Amino acid sequence: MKFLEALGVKIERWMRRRGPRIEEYNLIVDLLRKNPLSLAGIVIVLSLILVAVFAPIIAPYPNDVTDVHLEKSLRPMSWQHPFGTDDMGRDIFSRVILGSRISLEIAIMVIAISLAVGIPLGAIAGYMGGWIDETIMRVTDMFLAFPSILLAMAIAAALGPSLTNTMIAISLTWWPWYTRLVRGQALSLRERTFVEAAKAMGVSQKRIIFQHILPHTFSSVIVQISMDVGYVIITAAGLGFVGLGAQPPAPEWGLMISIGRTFMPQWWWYATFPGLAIMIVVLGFNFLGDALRDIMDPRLRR
Amino acid sequence: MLKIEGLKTYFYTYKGVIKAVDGVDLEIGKGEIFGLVGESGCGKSTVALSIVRLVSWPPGKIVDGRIIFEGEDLLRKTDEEVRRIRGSKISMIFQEPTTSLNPVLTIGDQIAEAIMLHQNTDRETAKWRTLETLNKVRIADPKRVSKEYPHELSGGMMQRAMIAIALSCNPRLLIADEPTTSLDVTIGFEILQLIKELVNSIGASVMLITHDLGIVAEACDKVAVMYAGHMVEKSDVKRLFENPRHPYTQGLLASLPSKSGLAGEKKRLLHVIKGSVPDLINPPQGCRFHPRCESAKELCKKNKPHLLEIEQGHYVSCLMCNGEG
Repeated sequence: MKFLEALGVKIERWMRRRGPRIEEYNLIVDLLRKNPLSLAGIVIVLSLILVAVFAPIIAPYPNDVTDVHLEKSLRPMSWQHPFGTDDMGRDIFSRVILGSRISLEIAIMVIAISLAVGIPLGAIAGYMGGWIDETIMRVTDMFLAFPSILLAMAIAAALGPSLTNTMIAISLTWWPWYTRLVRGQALSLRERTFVEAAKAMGVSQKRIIFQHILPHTFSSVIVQISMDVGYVIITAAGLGFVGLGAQPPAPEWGLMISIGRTFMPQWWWYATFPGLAIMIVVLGFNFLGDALRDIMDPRLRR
Repeated sequence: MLKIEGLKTYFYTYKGVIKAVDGVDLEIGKGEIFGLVGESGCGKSTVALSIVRLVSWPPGKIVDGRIIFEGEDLLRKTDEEVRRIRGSKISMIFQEPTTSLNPVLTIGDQIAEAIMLHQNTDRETAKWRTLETLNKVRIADPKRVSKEYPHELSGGMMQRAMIAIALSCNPRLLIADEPTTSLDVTIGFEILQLIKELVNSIGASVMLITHDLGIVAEACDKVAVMYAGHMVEKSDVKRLFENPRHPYTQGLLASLPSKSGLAGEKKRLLHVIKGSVPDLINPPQGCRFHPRCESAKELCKKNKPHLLEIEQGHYVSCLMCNGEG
């Protein structure tokens, strides 16, 4: 009995301490319930990640990246080949699943590079102001002056088509967006009193930028990331489609559509399923981005 | 300990040059609590920011003067040297504790940061000293509070945390810029007592910036009254309250609610100094206070008064009472 009582007290104390956090979870659950699309986004993104991680296990024909079975080329959908087969007789279902890895890998690399370059530059530009800001922002303007897909194509063409070069090309067009986003926030944050207080405590500029200002920009950066993943995947697929991205026989979705469209409309499944995969994934990330924005925006809460 | 001579801090704006601080002299002795009083916008805070060289350019600039702290001119030091002094030898407390603490860092982290910054201690020692400092500012349960974020604390608690940060490195001079303004009266009083007690125990001096003469009477040893970027009267507290000479000081004192009034003897309306702080881009010629001064003469519109000693340790800048007129 005594033990139970003690346990009860402990639980109560824990609940009280965690009160605000539990409330937070409830709020999020409530928001998701009100907006089923955001739930769909979360489900899609989670399944994409699961599929990508376990692709070789899930795919019924994991060797169909390179294998050729000309005897069963261009078969329509069946139980053996749910999405049909391509001109080389490879299982499109397996290739779409294996292709998720490529798309996700590109997205992660591109975002990682953009964050690593864009965020520090943005924070420095916004906080320091003056000619440093001016220089950094003019450089970003140069990159932003071109439509990102065109610039990426030009860079990819110059570097030579390959998966690595695709990542480099897209990253080069992507980082300025993060710089702008973070700079805008740093610009307003540096006027806040706590920055003044930190200065009055003798905190170094470096620490003020990275310890005091950067954490405040995380919520908007996270929303931006979740939106961007989808667009990076589209851009990568676009490069693949015009032949400047992944090279055959890689099961890259854009590349598959590019080859598959020559078999339209008779063998429609070849281009259709990779296309659907892109569409669903991009939608999923967009929904997720919207959901995260709603969750992080305190004004949308009550 | 701290001596300011002829300090001029201007702000260069599109509309013109704002002479926020236009030739201020003051001196703070060791262990002294020095009150700087004046209306909003008269340059009090700019004096404070000038001392730690935090007037940001553009638009602000310290144009002239000397700020001698422990024998060295702060205006001649490099940025890096001044940064090392900030927080370790001179630290500041701001008006709004709610906005001067970083909302994304815990109280403990923010205090530990100050300690680690200036005392070359490792994380463990800093943590231990953080708890000790929180204990000193009389926060109950320092362990819990050190793990909390600013929004989880009340205003008074946050101001205590600010004091803990400011005093964590045993500074020689504490600049408190309206430390009690945003707090209610009883909490403000407690905070004031706490500041007094703590600086006393470490032998630090305080520059207390306020517009509340009650606080000055309560806490300060010496007091200076500022008006429109100039210092108009300077003396020790007792003398200023007993024998205010400058019309502005007299006006300020007359506008305090009197205790007898509260007791219901004879109710009177509070005195009001007519007008407001002048535009500092085109300040009035002569004495800057003359447009609002009840005893202003023709002379006051032309001649500029200087801060002169009228009796031992009592300086006034008024043509009518310091013998210049």
